[in-house]
Amino acid sequence: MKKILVIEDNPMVIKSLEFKLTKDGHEVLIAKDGREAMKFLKEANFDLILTDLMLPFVTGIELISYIKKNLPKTPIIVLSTSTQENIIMDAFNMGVDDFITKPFSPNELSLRVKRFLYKA
Amino acid sequence: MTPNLVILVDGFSNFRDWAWIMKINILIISFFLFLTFCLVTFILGLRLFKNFRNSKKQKQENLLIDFLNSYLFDEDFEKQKEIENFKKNHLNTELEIKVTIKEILQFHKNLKGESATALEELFLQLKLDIFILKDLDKNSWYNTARAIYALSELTIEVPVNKIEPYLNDLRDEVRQQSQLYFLKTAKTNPLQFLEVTKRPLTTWQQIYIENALKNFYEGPIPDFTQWIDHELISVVEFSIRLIARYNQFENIPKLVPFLKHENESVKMETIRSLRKLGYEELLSLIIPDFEKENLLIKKEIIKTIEQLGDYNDLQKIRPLIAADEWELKIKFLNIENCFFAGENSANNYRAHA
Repeated sequence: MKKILVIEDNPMVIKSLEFKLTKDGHEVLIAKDGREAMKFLKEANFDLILTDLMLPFVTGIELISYIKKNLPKTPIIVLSTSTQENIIMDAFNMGVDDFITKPFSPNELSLRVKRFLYKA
Repeated sequence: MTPNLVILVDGFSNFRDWAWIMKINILIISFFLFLTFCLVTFILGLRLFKNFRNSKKQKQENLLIDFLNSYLFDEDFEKQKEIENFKKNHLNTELEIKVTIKEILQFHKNLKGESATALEELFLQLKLDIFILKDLDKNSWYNTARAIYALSELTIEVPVNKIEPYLNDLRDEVRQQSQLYFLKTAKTNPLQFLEVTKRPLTTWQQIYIENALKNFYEGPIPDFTQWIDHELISVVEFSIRLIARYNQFENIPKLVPFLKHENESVKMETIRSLRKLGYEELLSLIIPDFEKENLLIKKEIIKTIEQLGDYNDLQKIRPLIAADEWELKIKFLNIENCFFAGENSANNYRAHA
């Protein structure tokens, strides 16, 4: 069972992601803000990280740079409302593996998650 | 009985013998004590009611999160049976219905593709559109605005005469929602509603319309010159702006006469749009009128020279800037410097080449 860390502060999106990804057979851990996410990242290893960019306490960008520095092999998918080209480009330049914009299609997200989890 | 209490009771038993000022004091104190008691009881009651309502709301929300997630993602979920069951057991009070509509809208806002379509179907299967239509007829503006919002978010089409009257409602919010409804449900000609619009478009309405046109409307983009002769100045300005935004170069000849429009803001919008469209003859049409224009238009003309003109065009307006127009003078000198810098770098480039 692959372990996914979802970092998101919207309760509705959290529940949907948790439901869908658990249904797909993954173990899902939820962090509602950047600080909680940092705690999880220090305590356990994950096969994939799914994160929003706008987060309380520690922003998504700060988190990504932390992950890239300390866990460079863990793939990161960004799930964000931002459609601004410069923000998307910045995320990819930081080493993000994929970028999904909200509103998102859960089926498409599920396929992209599978692609990263079973690529290796 | 303690001695103090005896004195107090004796005092009150001789109430009739009290001085009138004391009697009035006691009456006022009693009245305010009663008022305070009523107020505290009312606040407590309100608090209890709110807590009760919130707990019911929370319960319904939790129920819906499970129901909607199962409906959307669980293949073993018996949809028809569960929908009937939900309708029968959890859609009985106004609060339950309102929470359900809000949650479905919330899900719909965050999801797209098959899931969004499934939510639209669910909304109709739960017959929530009937409740929305009832809400539409209520007198309160917020109910009407909310109902139209729900219809447009879920692209549920209702007879035109149900929404059209709200295009000219007294409240901005209601007008805005009805405009978005027509735009989001349109297959072609998304701005047709402008033909029956009688009230000016606010800045926010223009922003929302433009955003919806860009992000939600999927049909062909209309020719915006349809509305450049509209009776409302705000609609005329908006149409001129959209012509430039959507690069409708073919409409340049229709825009040119608006450079002589009697309304200053229309004239300004026309200069901006023609500038964005890169209309080469624009400078020869606006520079001769520079002196008689107002400050804002003069600024637009200088900006246009900066973008479309050269040093010679700029020099044409030098004698036309009044001695006390400091803002224009500073702008003029900045642009002049830019032209000089540009020329110098071009010369350097030529010299090195």
